[in-house]
Amino acid sequence: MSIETLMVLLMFGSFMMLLLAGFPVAWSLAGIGLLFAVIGHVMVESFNADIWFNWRGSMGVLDRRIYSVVANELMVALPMFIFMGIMLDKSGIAEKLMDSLVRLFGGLRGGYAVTVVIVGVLLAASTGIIGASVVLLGMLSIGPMLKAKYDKTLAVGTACSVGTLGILVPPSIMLVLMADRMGTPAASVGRLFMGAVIPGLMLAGMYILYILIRSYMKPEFAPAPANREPVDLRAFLDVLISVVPPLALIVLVLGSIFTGVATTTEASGIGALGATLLALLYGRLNLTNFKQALYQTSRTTAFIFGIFIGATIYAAVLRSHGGDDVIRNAILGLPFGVTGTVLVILLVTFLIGFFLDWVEITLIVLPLVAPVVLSLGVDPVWFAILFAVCLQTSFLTPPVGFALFYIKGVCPPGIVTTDIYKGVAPYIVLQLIALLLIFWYAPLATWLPAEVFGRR
Amino acid sequence: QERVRWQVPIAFPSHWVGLSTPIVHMTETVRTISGGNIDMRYYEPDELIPPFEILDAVSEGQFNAGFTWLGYDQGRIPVLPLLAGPPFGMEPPAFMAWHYFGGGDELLQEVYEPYGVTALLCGVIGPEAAGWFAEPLDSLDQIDGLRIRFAGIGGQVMEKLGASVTMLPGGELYQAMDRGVIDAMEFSAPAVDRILGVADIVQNYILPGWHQTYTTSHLLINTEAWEDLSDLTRAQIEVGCRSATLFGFSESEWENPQAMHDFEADGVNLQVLSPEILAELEEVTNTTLDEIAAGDEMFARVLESQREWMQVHGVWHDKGHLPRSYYGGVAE
Amino acid sequence: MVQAIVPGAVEARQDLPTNIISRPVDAVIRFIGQLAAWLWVATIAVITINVVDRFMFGRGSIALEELSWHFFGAAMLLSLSYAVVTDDHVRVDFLRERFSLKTRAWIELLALVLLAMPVFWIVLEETYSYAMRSYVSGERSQAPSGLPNRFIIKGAMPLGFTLLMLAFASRALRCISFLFGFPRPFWPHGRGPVSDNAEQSSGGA
Ligand code: NA
Ligand code: NA
Repeated sequence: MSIETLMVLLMFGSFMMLLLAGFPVAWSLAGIGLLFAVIGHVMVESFNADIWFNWRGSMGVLDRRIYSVVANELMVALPMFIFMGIMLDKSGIAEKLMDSLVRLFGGLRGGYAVTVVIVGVLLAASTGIIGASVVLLGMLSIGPMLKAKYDKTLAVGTACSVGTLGILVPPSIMLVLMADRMGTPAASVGRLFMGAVIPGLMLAGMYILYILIRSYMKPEFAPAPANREPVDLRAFLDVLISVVPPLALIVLVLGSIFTGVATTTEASGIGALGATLLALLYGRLNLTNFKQALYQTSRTTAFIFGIFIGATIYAAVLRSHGGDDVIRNAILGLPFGVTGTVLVILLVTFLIGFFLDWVEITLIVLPLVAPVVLSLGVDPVWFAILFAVCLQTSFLTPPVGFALFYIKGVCPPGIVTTDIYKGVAPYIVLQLIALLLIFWYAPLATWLPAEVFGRR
Repeated sequence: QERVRWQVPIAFPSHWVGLSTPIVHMTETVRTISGGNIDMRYYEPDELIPPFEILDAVSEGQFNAGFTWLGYDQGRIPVLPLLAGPPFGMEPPAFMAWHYFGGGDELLQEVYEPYGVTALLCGVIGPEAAGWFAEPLDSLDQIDGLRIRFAGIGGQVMEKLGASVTMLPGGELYQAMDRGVIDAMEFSAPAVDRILGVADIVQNYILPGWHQTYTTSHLLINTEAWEDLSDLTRAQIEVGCRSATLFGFSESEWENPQAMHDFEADGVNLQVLSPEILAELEEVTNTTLDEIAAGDEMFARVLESQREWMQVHGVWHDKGHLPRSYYGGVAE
Repeated sequence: MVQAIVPGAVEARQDLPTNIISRPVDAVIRFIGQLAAWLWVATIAVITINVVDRFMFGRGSIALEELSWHFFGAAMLLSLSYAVVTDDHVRVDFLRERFSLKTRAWIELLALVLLAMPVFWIVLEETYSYAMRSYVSGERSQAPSGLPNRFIIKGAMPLGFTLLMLAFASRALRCISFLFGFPRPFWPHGRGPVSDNAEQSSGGA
C-alpha cells in the first residue's frame, strides 16, 4: 500500500471515530484536517518524506477557501429558504397545508408521507441546493407526521430522502457543475436538466409506492387519520381555501423563476418575504415570533455552514496528502469493457460518497473519467445522470451524508441519529434500484433531452 | 538536475480550448524535457483555491506558481485588462510582437514586481464572441435597457450605452438566460462557448468580439521561488510556456471555426455587428479607456505603449494583408 | 411501540453546567448572534429591491447583487459562535447517547482543546492577515460597478472566528467546571447532574 493510500484511509478512519464519539460534525472535520496537516508537516520537515503534502498549500490557503464559502452568491438562497420554512411553520400555514392535503387523500394509509413526497418534488423544482429543501421539508413535515402517530423513522427518512431530490430535479447546481466538467455540448446544462427530469419523477414515484406498500402491510407504521371527516364538497372547499395562500406563495416562488423575473437566489428572497407577509395576513406575526424566526435562521444556517467550513479544511488536507491520486488510481487502469468501466466508476463514486461531499467528488472524479467514458462511446447524458443519481445517494449514506446532518439539525430532540439511519436505509435501496433501472434502460435519461434539443 | 515538485492551481477547467489547454501542454512538455525532474502538477479550479485567488496565493508563496487569466485581478490592479484582453485592442500576432519585442514583457514584469511575482506569457487566443443574445442586435437602441451579463471594461462600455450589466455567477448563468432573467450574455470564444451548450437555448450568436480582441493566459510565479531555481530549470519552464502559447493559439484557431460550423448546423444565427454599431462601440470604448487612464498611471503608460505600437503596426495590418474576404467570400 | 417525543426534555437536563466566566461570555456571544440575525432582514430587503429594480425599472445593480451576499456572509460568520453556545452544531449521537455525561465532557474537552481550538486559531490568523492585505491594497470588487472596500466582508471572517474561539473556550471551561469542580459549576436547574437512570425513566413522559 502506498503512503498516500495509508494516509487517506487513516484520515477517513480517525474522522469516523471522532464523529462517532459525538463531537460536532463541523469541528470533527476541521480537527482531523489539522491533525493530519501536523502529521504531514512532521513527515516532510523531520523525516524528509517524499510526499506532496505542503503546509502552506493546505493549511495556508484556508483563508481563501473559507472566503469562497462566504463570497458565494448562490448560497444566499439557503438562509432565505430556511427563513421561509420557519415562517411557514410559525404561522401555522405549513401545518394547515399539510392537514388539508391529507384530508384530500382521505383514508389513504401513509397519506401524509405521500404528501411530503409531492411537496418535496415541487420544492425540488424550485431550488437547486440541497440544504434548502431538506431543511425546509424537515421543518414542515416531521412534526405533523409524528403528531399523526407515524413511525419516526418513516417520518425522518421520508423528509430527508425526498429533500435530496432538490439536487437532482432541475434547477440543480450539481448538474450545472457537472455539465461544466463534462466538457461536451452533448452534455450541456440544458440536456442534463432535461435528462434528470424523468429519473427524478421516477424516484418520487418509487418513494410513494414504497410508502403505500409499506403502510398497507404494516398499518401502525403510517396510520390513516383517526377521526377523518368524509370528503364532501364542503370539505373540498375548505381544503381549497386553506391551500390557496401557501400555494400562492409556492407559485410566486416557482413562478418568478419560471417566468424569468428572478434567479433562484432572488426567488428565495421573495419567498422569505412572501412567507412573512402571509404570517402577517394570518395574524400570526408578532415581534417575538419574528425575532425567534430570525434567531432560528441564524442557528440553522450556522450549523450548515459550520460543516461547509469544516469540510473545506478536511478536503484541503486530504488533497495535499494525495487523496486525489488514491481515488484516481482506484478508477484508472480498469481492465473492463464499457459496461464494466461505467459500473466501476459508479461503484467508486458511491463508495467515496460515504466520506466526501458532491462538490469534491465532482471536482476529483469527473474531469478524470469524462474523457475516458466519452472515448468509449458512452452516451454522455446517460453517464452524467447515473453519476448524478449516485451523488444524490451519497447525501444519504452515513457517516458523511450531508442530508443526514441537515435533517438532524432540524429534527425534534427525541429523534436520534440511529432513527435517521434506519429511516433512510430503505430509500438508499430505492436509489440503487433506480440506478440499476437507468443503467439497464438508458432512455429513462436520454429520451427527453433528445426530444427537446434533438439528437447529437 | 534539481528535482522540482510544484502544485499549480489553474483558473479555468483544463479542457477549455486555448484558455487552459496550454497549461496541460506546458506541464507535459516540461516534464518530458527535464527527464521527469520538473513535476508541475495542475489542479482544476476550486480544487486547491478559487480561481480569483491565484495571484494572491502565489504572491504569498502558498503556491509557487498558478495559471490564470490576469483580468481576474482588475479589482485591485486596474491595468490588467490591457494585458489580459482589452476592447478594440491588438490582434494576437501584433500582441505577441508587442509582448516579445515592443516592451510589453517589461511592462508586465513591472506591474507584478510589487507583488513579488514573475509573470510568463503562456497562452494567447484570438477574439471572443460578442455574446449570446435572445434577439438579433440590429441597432444601438436595443442595448439601452438590455439586461446582460458582461465582464470587464466591455461591461463598462455596455453600461454607458444604457445596458443593465450584471455579473451573475456561472452556476446561475444558464438558467438565467434560459428563463429570460437576462437578455444576453458574453462568455468566451466559440470553441469554449460550445462546451457550455448555450446553443441549446439561445439562437443568436453575435460577433465579432469587439470587447476582447485577444485573450492571454499567464503562469504567475513567486519570484523568490523562481530565483531559487537553476538556470536550466528556468529555461525549461520558459520554453514550456512559449511552446504552450503556440500550442494554444493553433489549437483555438483550429477549433473556433469548427465550433461555429457546429452552431450553424444547430440552427444558430451567426450575426455580425453592423459597422455603425461597431463604430459607436469603439468611440465609447476609447472614452472609457481614456477615463481609466486618467485615474491610473500604469494603465496610462501601458495604454500609450499599446496605442503607439498599433499606430506603427497599422500600416502593415492595413496594407500588408489581404482583405478578410479573400478566402472566397466565406464571410459575407 | 411508538415512542412519544418530548422536545428538549432529556437534552436540557443533560447539559453541561455553566460557571462564572462562561455565563457572561456566552451571554455576549448570544447577544451578538441575535443582533446579527437582523442582517437576514437586510438580505431580504436588498434582494427584493434588486428584483423590483430590474424587473419593473429595467435597472440592474451589481453593487446590490453583491450587497446581498455581503449581508449573508456577515450574518453567517457571526452566528457560528452563537450556534456553539446554543449547542446547535450537528452531532452523530448514536454512541454518544449511551455515554455518561462525564465521558461526554471528557471527549468534548479533549477534542476542543487539542483539535478544534488549534485549527481555528490557525484559521483566525490566516483570515486576519487576509483581511489586512485586502485593506492595505484597497481591494474592491472585480466588477466595474461593484462594491468597494472588500476588507469589510473579509474582516467579518476573523471577527467571526474570534467569537468562535471564545465560544469554544467557554464551552471547554464548562467541561472543566463539571469534571474538576472549578470554576464552581452552576447547574441550569439548580440541581446536580441528572443520573443515567433518571434520564432513561424520564424519556417516556
Ligand atoms: Na432542484
Ligand atoms: Na455520504
